Amino acid sequence: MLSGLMNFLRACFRPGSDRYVHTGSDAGGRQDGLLWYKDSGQHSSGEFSMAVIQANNLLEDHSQIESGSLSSHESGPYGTFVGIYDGHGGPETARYINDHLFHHLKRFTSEQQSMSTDVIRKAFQATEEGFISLVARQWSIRPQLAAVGSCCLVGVICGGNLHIANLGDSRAVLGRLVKATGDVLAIQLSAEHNACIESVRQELHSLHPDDNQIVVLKHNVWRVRGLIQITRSIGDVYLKKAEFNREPLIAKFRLREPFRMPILSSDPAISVHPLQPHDQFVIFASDGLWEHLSNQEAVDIVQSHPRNGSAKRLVKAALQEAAKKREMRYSDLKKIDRGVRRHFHDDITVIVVFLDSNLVSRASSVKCSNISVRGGGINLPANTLAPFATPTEAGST
Amino acid sequence: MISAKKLIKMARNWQKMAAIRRKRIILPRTSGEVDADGCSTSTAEKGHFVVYSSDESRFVVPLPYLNSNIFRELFKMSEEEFGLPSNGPITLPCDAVFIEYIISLVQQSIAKDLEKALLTAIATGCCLSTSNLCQEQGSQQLLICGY
Repeated sequence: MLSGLMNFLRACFRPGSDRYVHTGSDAGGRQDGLLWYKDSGQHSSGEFSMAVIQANNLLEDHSQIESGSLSSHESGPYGTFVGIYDGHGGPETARYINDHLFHHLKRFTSEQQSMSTDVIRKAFQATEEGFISLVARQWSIRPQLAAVGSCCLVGVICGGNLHIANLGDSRAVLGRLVKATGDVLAIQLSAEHNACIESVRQELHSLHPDDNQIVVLKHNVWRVRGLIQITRSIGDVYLKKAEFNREPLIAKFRLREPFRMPILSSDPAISVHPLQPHDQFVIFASDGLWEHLSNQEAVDIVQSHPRNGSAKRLVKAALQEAAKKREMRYSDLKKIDRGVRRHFHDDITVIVVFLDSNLVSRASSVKCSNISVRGGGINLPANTLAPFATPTEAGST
Repeated sequence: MISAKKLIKMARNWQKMAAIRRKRIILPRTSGEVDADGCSTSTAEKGHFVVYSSDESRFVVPLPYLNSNIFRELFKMSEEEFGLPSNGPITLPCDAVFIEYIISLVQQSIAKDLEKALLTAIATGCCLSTSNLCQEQGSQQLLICGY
């Protein structure tokens, strides 16, 4: 009786979107339902493992790993580039970064003939400017593009150094072997730009001394101007340039008073870490992972299992934790369709980069083969659903 | 926009449907019980998810309900009201009686016009608490007012 009823209900409800899901291999990775993964690959200084789980109707997490020449010339320098781009309000900014940031970086590396924090900063800046001009060009037809943005976490391994550049709340964590004990210690290499952190709120208050609404606590979540949790990003042009904070942008994104200085910053925090022989691996992941796993938990999972499939294992551990918090079974969580799935967990992207000390210490002039892998996901055919079909879609994260 | 006349007609249908006695398959649960195989019932049984009402009742709901337009709308409202919490369960912005009512409607495979009226009512925020649900002739008969 009950099962009959359920079958009836199932038949009555909207058809699922499973028809766009395919299992099999594509450019470098495999898609299995909402999970995309590449269990193992080779980069300039060791192996890597990559996985993405989609929760949003349109995947908002984009990512890439590039190995080989880090300049526009084949003469190098050589190394590995990792990017995690966690979009919000839509996938457009994250996609844009995936298409442009690495090219800008290669161009500036060629100009300066070396890798440096200055090269990375310029690449971020050029990407931000490129996206702003895209918003400006499309303003009359797609004003909602002004309310789309993305976090941007980048790691560059080159010449024995690891450069970390970050905007937003993704995170890079290093696993370092402690010789004396044999333990692998988690060392966080980036700091989040999220208003939930007191020092970040203080920074905002000092930058906007006249604005007592610069951060607002709503339902226990701190948000900049009551709108957004992160304080630095690529995009989110409506909070950076007043000329994009007006009609025809929908009302909920428009601020009552015009602002003179940008409310969000696009200036990345960049650090350089000389890699040591006992540095084992770096986990790069969007906040979807870190809201369920601590740094040390993630490092322990990578350390205590084979390298092959590390990223997928981390995603699974996070989903198991998400299921527990939602008081349901992991096997049931996996059955939930993208879109409504976002209420159970966020999009999660993980790239684990293993460091082979022999390869890391190799000079950046030693040539290695070019490899390029991008995190995948399911996208509707372009003519089925425009990303900006409704204002609520542009607003949801 | 739905006319007042049509709404009254819908409300009458609604009243009739609500008056049909039915056996409920979903009941608010109190957490902390231990079921037969020794697992804590804080994890929902297979094929179910959990939501809480604003007055903290726990509902164990079959997964296919996630496909209903009404549940999707309530989830959207939950996001607007409470954000997307990363550390706890999902809370819907309505009280236990209302969630029970919604569940009973989805259970009976709600008629399209009734669903439309309910979605309109939810969207305008006029029926999310029992104070707006007038109860007549016992608890089985519910009528939405506030139009």
